[in-house]
Formats: sequence, C-alpha cells, structure tokens
Amino acid sequence: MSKIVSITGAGAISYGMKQINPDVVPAFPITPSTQIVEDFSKFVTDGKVDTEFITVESEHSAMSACIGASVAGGRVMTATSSAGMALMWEMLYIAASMRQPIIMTLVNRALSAPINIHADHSDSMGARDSGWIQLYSENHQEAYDNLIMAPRIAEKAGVRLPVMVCLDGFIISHCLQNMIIEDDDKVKAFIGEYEDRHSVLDIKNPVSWGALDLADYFIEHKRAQNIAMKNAKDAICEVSRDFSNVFGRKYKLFESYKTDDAEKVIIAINSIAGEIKEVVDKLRDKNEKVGLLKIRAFRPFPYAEISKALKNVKIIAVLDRSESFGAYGPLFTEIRTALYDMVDRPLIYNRIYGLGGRELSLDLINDIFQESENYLQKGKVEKIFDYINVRGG
Amino acid sequence: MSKYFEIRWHGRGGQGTVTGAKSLAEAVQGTGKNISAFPEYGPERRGAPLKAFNRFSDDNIRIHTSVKNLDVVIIADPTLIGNNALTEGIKKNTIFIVNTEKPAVEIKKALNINGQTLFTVPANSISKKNFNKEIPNSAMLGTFAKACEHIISLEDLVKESKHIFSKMLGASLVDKNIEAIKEGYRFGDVVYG
Repeated sequence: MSKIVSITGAGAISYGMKQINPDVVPAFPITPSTQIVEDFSKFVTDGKVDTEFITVESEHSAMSACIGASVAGGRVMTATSSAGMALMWEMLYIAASMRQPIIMTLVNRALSAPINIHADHSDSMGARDSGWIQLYSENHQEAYDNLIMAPRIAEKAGVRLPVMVCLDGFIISHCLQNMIIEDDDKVKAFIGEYEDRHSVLDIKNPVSWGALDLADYFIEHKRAQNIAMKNAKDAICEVSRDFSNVFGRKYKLFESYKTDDAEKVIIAINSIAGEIKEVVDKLRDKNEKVGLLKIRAFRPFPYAEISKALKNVKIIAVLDRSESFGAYGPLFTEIRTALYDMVDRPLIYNRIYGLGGRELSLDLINDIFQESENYLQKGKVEKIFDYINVRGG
Repeated sequence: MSKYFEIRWHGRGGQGTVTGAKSLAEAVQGTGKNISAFPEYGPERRGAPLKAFNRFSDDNIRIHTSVKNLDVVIIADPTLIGNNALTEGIKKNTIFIVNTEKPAVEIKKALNINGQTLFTVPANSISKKNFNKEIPNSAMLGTFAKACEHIISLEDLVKESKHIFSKMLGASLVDKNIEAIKEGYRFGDVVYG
C-alpha cells in the first residue's frame, strides 16, 4: 500500500533509491545532496538493499565508477550537487556518449565563486549540452516520481542515455513535507529487471568501450546520440503514461497550469512553480487570465509542444535561475526559439531571479504579471532582460 | 482556518529547535493535515540564534518562502528575549509560546507586545526533571496543543508522538517524552490578548 509520510526531499530520493535497489552506487557527498548518500549508506549497512556502495575520493571518481559499473552490466545510480557535478564534467560527457543509462540526482546549488550552498540552476544548466536527459521537479513528490520513472526512460531501447533528476537545494532537499511513497513491490514491478547490453563481462560477446574515434566516424556517433535524445521525448511521454496508469499522478514534458485561456504566462523551472501557482490562483480569483508553464524535460527540449501550448498567449515572462554571462538565460533562449515558427508570436521577456538561493516572494511574482500587463497595454516589451530583487542596476 | 497556518520558531543552534518544528509537523501530519517544516538555512553554529518554520494546511502546501503571516511564534530559548527578530511581522492575533519560568505578564512586557495572547511553559525545568538535561521540545509541544487545540489536540499529539518517538527512541524515553508533553500542557502561565 502506498503511504503518506513526512520526509525531506533528499530523504524521498534516498527512499526511492532504496526501492529501486540499484546494483551499484558510487558516491561522494556534497551539500545539499549529502543526506541522499548518507541515508542510502545506512540502507546498505542495514542490509535493506543489495547495492554495492562505493565510497570514492572525488566526484570525478564517483562518475568514473558509475561508468565502469554500468559498462559491466549494472544498474547504477548516484547523487551530487554544484561543484560536485562540476568535478564530474569530463565523465558526464563520457557517460552520455557511451550511452550508459546511469541515474543521477542533482540537488541544484549555485556554483562558486563566491562560495554559496543555496539553490540555483547554474550547475544543471551548465551541463545541458552534456548529453544527459534532464528532468526537473517542483516538489518532493515530483522528485520522487521522476526518480522512479528515470530508469525506465534511461534504459529504453533506442534511448540508452543517462538521466539527471533535478530538484532545488535546501528549498526541497531539506524541507520536511508530506508526500506519497508508493509500495515497494509496485515500484519494483514498475521499474522491471535491468537488461544489460554489450556488457564487458559478457565474455562470449566481447566488446570494447571507450575506443578512439577520429574524424572518420565521430560525427556519425554524435548524430546517433542526438537521435537517441530525440527518442527520449517519446520515452518520457510513454513512461509517464504508464506511471499515471499505475500510480495515478500525471506527468508530461511540461505542466500547463491554467494556460488554456491565459493571456499572460510565466515560464519557470523547479520549486518556484509552487509560488507562481499560488499567485496565478489569486489573480484568477480577480478574473485575470494568467497561467504558468513549468518545464519538466529540459533535455530533450519540447520545442513544438511548447509553441502549441502557448498559441493563444499574448505575453510571456521567462524566469531563469541561472546566468549565461553575455547572453540571455538558458530557458529564455529555448523558449524564444520555440516561438519563432508561430504565426502570431507573443511578446516575451527574460528575468533572472533567485541566484544563490535568494527568495522570490509572492508579491514579486505578482509584480511580474503586472509588468506583463503594462507591456501588453503598450504593445511592446521595454526591457527584454533584467534581474528581479537585486540591488543596484 | 485560513489557507496556511504559519509558525515561526526561535531557538539557538544545538537546542533541537529545528527538530521541534519537524516533530510538531509530523504529529500534525498524523491527523491528516498537509505540513511543512524547514529551518532558515545558513551556517549552523552552536548557540547562535536560529529560526525554523512550519506551515499547516488542509490544501496542498505549494509555497516554500519564509513564513510571513504569523499565527504562532514559539520562543524556545528565553535568553533570546530582547532580540527584535522575535516580534518582527507579528499580527494582532499572533499567539506567543515562550519557554520560561517567569510569569506571562512579565514576558509580555519584556517582549514589548500589546494585545497578543502569550503562553509560558517552564520547559527547561520539566525537561530537567524528566531527562536530567535541558531539551525543552516535548514540553513546548504540549503547550502548543493547549494554545492551538484546533490544529492538534493533546490526545492526538500524545498518540502521534508515541508513534514518532518509538521510531527513534527506546520505550522508557518515549514514556518520558509523553510525560513532558503532558506537563507542558498542564503547567505554565497565560495572559490573553
């Protein structure tokens, strides 16, 4: 039977990992993802999982061990944050390019300097071109559900790519909240047995991994990788449908919250979506046509689906919780690209918020909708790019 | 109740204030409400002032921002009195719960508040008697059940706490905590707003 429990976001992830019972978990703890690894190590010690738990001397080694265990035919998981993932950088690309369906929870945290332990998306956004599927989570439930869906998506034939499950550091990882934990057996049945492919331990069919690949074939392999990522879009939809049939909660590539007749829409990622929904409801009570589009899959990015969902919208504010110095925010860039082929394109602008964990209040979200209204009345956007709740400028 | 019932806790690092907020949330969740509990995140230093927050609701809790609409302020350490942060953002009907041996009228004066209801609880002495050290949480939870019966009754608090403590503690410590909860409900002073 499923049960309602009070648990932290990090606790929910480690509990989900326990239910998945992966073959190997190599890990190196870093704030704010530490509790995931800490709890999981207890499950290992207590014999609650059969996992080979490998403590390593750095995150670079953690991801290297993940890759090694994966090519040896194991189902492999890990967790990290911020600088931890930055240290994995080289291996992130290798994991994806070697098509290893590794699952990594990334508890989003700012990158240094100055040193900061709080939530923003500079870590995962920096890794958006590494070839990992990226799923984002608004809250505890979504983080857990994304984790349960991740192995099925990653391991699907035609995909075979690693998945990064992202959730906001502290805001979700350290907050105690009630959520539904599903039954162990149901989760196990949903995940299914791991089918290894081209394992180095399959001595009857010897294979070589990590070979040299120069100009004669490299680009073909990269194109094949991109096709796999495109296939991931259907895989996410299919696995999400199955998930909904079994567990009842519905997920798509993104969530459209009251957008059907909306004129003013905010697009955002992760926990801030909760606050935006709250403001949307308050403004809806005053008959304002507002809505939220919350991204779940950032890689692969659902361009066509998003432009279809926004076809009646008049103005969009895209909120980015990371910087792309000298450029617009990464989410804004994707959304504006998605809109280009529309006949009647809505107005659109970009706001950076919440870097290093700065809070974005309901009042400030309300102000964004007000700013959209002002631009709508003027018929143009006056400031395409700006910061919210920042000193100076 | 209005959509979110919100609580701010004031304590010092190492006193278990964050654990107090989490225990209360777990107990309230046991009664079927939605809950959240989270500290004000920052470097943790033993003895330094810290805040923790709760939200309770019949609806899904979608917001994570720090608590602004204060229904209750819980002061776990009386040596914090004099710190302006304790009364920041309070409303006319904010309820105060203060761990102190002193009379409620005196504490109200010290906090420089007017019109709010204030409960005191000698949680440190209750704790010393039961555990031979100062861990005021359980007694303060008992006072919370007295001050906010519509959120959780003493009966439900005792029932849920037994369940929660049993997961972490041995039988004798569970009993002592339950006793501290009951004493926190029974003892202490109040001045109504």
